Amino acid sequence: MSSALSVLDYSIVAAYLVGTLVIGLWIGRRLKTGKDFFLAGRSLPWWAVGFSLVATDIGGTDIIGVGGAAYAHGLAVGNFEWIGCIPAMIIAAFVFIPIFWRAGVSTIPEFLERRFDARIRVALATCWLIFMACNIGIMLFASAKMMGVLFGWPVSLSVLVTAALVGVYCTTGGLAAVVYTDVLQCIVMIAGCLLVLVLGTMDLGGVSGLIARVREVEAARGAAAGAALEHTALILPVDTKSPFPWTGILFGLTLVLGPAYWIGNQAIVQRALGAKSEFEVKAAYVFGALMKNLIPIIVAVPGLIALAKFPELREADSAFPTLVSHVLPSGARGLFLAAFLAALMSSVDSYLNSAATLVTTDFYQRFFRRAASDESLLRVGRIATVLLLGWGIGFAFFVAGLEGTGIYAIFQTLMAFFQGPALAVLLAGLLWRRATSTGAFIAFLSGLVMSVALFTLNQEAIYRQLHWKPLFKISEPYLYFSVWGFVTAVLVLFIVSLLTPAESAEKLRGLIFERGPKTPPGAAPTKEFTS
Amino acid sequence: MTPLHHIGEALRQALLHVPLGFVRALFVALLVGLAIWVACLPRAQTTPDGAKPKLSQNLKMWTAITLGIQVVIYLLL
Repeated sequence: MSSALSVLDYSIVAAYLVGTLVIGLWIGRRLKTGKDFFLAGRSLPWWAVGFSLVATDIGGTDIIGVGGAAYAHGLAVGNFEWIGCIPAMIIAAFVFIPIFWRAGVSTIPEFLERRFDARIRVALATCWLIFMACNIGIMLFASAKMMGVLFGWPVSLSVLVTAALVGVYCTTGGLAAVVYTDVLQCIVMIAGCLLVLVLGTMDLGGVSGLIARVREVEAARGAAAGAALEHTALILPVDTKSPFPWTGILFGLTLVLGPAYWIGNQAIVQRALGAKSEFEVKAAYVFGALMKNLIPIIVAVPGLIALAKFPELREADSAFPTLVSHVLPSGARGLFLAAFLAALMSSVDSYLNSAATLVTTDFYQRFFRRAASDESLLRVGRIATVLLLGWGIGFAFFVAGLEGTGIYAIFQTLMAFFQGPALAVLLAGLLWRRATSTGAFIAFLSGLVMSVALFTLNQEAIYRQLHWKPLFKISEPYLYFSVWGFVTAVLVLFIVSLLTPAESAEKLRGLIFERGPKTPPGAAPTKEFTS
Repeated sequence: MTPLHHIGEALRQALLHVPLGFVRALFVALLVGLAIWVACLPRAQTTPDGAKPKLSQNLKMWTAITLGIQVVIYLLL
């Protein structure tokens, strides 16, 4: 399937990479303090944050994975970008993110310590740090593998080159470099995927030709399996064979995972914390939500085009690459490769910067040097970035040795374990005055234990040993783990909070959602960034 | 079969009876409800502080457009 690239293709990729480096280094020359490095000096405009939100969310593996899921299961995978994101982004814009911004924090765990105490800060920071650090390696490896399949590039070379490029501008420019390079990367990513969509649709004789052909393929399969036609539907029945029944989409994705991601994911929220005003924070999230309407069309629909053109592929994840190699002419392949690299780099750089922020703020500054100067925080942030990148490269090669063990799916499930309980703690902290520190900590751990227990009991080796049936009837039921983790955490938080002494009104000032006049900035018991 | 299986199966059977048309209406109602909530927010929460905001700075309008597109998508697909 490997497609040869022409000189024109390589020129386009080179232009993109040079553009990214120039922007990153240009931004980095003005960097002087830790606040510049972690929060871009709180100077970011809404449009840059908005592009960065979308670019961070869509990784290189997502382009391939969403296209593959659309090929295998249909357009229902688009729910992840539509109802799974947009309502959560709108609520985050007007309710939650402005509270974080006004509190002047650098990380979500830092906010949780102010609202509760250090236990929940450490617990959540540890979960996010482990996940992010490992995910950097997984993203690097999975994308390098895809570049090997697509263009015949050696995996180790791809990992090292991508890591080096991202490392240079992340280390020198911090969050500002990440966000402004994300703007370029988002535009390139959308352009590249749009090209695949347009050329692929034209190849099938337009939209009506695509729909007719998908229905033909589906009908042929449905007739054989006795299944309903599902590829062009967003809402699937409870007993669907796909991992996207409406119950999982509504209860797991829309009500738990989506809000947990857009309100509580440090890599996502951090760029909003760097916005120059509260209005810019809200505008960025709304702008991001508006752009999200487009994403499934340019990422999932190519999976349907691949289904229409190549219905007999053995691996769903090869749908997008196969389409690219058959539909795109010379020059356009270079644009797609640039788009793929853009998607990859925009996610890796964000996770890298946010993981470095967690290390510096939530561990180094919190536990070792509370009085660290702004300059020393900048130095530690840069060292942490380099070390995390080194870890990411090492983990990428480690994952390469584990291929075939389902390591990628395991790490995606890992995020579902703690996002439900984390959302419960955040929501209670922001909306319920009576939520207490002990209640939050015990609730988080209980939710985590529930998610892990359900995952464990649903493993074939375990339930066979116990002579049970599987707990869930759909494949990959991670949406349900998050629901039950969330429900457990909410119940435990409610009960334990009522059994423990309430927090003082002074402590809560400025940290709770108020529908009336806002608590002015600075009224919250904030500590200076450098304190 | 454990109590967990019984609870799960009971939930599953109950949800199997919910018509997909009702689910579609629920998804659309969620989006419309959110749009109405944002429309009802105080003006100060959806426009920049200070000078008189331009039309392009009205976040209520952009939210309505964003959620309006979603409503169309969930009605059609």
